[in-house]
Amino acid sequence: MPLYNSKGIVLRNQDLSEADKIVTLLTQKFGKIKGVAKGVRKTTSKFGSSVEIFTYADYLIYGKENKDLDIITQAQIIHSFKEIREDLNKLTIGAFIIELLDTLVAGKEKDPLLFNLILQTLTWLKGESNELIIPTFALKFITLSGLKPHLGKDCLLCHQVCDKMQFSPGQGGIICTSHRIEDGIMISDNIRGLLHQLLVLDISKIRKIHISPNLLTELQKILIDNYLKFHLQKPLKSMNTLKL
Amino acid sequence: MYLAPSMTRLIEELSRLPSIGPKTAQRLAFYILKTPKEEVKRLAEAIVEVKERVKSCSVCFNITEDDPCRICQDINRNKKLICVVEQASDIIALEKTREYKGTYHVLGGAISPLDGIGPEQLRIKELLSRIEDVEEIIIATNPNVEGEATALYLTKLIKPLGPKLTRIAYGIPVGGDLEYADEVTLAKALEGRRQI
Repeated sequence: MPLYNSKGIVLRNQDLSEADKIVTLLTQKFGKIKGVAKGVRKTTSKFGSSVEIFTYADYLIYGKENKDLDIITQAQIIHSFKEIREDLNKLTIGAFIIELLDTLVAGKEKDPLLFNLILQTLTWLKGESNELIIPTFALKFITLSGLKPHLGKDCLLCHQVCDKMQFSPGQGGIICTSHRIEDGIMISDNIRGLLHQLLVLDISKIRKIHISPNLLTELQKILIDNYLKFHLQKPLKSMNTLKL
Repeated sequence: MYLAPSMTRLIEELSRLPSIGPKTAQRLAFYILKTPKEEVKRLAEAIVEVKERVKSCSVCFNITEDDPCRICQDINRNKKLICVVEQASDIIALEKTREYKGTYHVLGGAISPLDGIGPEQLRIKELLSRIEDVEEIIIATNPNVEGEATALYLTKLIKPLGPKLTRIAYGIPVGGDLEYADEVTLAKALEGRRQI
């Protein structure tokens, strides 16, 4: 594929030499690719704004086989998502989403479901800053990555339905409290139900849900601080700035 | 391959410099070998001198030999006007315009959530300690995501404290062509249009 085009979302860009940038894109047709955008840091550049993070555009890319870096030659912006960059709160949420995606997605592998999810999430974030954006994205994304947690009422080990439950990142979901698990944390049926809803419902429906700050703290503790951290093995850099 | 040990050392040291690979380093080393001794001495002294003399200004954090820097000492400059920039090299660019007659403040970077750089890593506290009696603060961070985030954060922080806050304009570069300008820049240029 010497010259190809695809819609894509910018995940990251780093400066390269005098006026170039290395851009990481999540493309619709080819998965995650890295490319050099030449001269974009010059003030006269025609497509400087199309390599800013979150930008959704149609890219024309020149690539050689067995080469890590392609060359991005043209771009036509479909949506710049500038609303996210212009609001500090939205920006930090967006940065978390993008970093999570960049960390777990390995390479050139087409994934239409994932592309759709990120596009839906960014559209949601553009419109409003809902407290459920991060948990929803994290849960749906980690499920697409093959790490779906078990959130049913039955215990993973004995398959019995019981009243008191714990959540174990290592075992991958709900376990009844009769088992002794090292990393288990108590989880209320409320939170379990909410997590289950976030997993199965469409984003358009989740947009209408609002929860109390207490519930959110508990939800984030289980999903982000425990489940995500367990699988990522390292904290994300953008977590530091999430509480601006 | 045998090379005199001192040459090997020079090549090694040179290849540490940015965008200089082993081949270029070797070429430079041979060039230095051929150059008269006085010239080489001047180069070596210049390198050492820059390291010994240059420090950052205690007021604005510009790079300088005297502390406070020349710009901060200059009585003709308007001390009630502070232009906030990311790097000391941005001051050089702004000074070239010869349009600006106020003082500067170097933040030493920009807020970047993706790299985990938060406001506490920048010289924002130092800026806040300077804003008493200041009439206007111009935020001249880069027009990219990090620069914008920094501008937003500074606005949130400084606005309640009183001084007039401005942001440098966006737009079409002088000598540019509207037809080839990208959508975001053009939209920003329209948004920031002014009456003439």
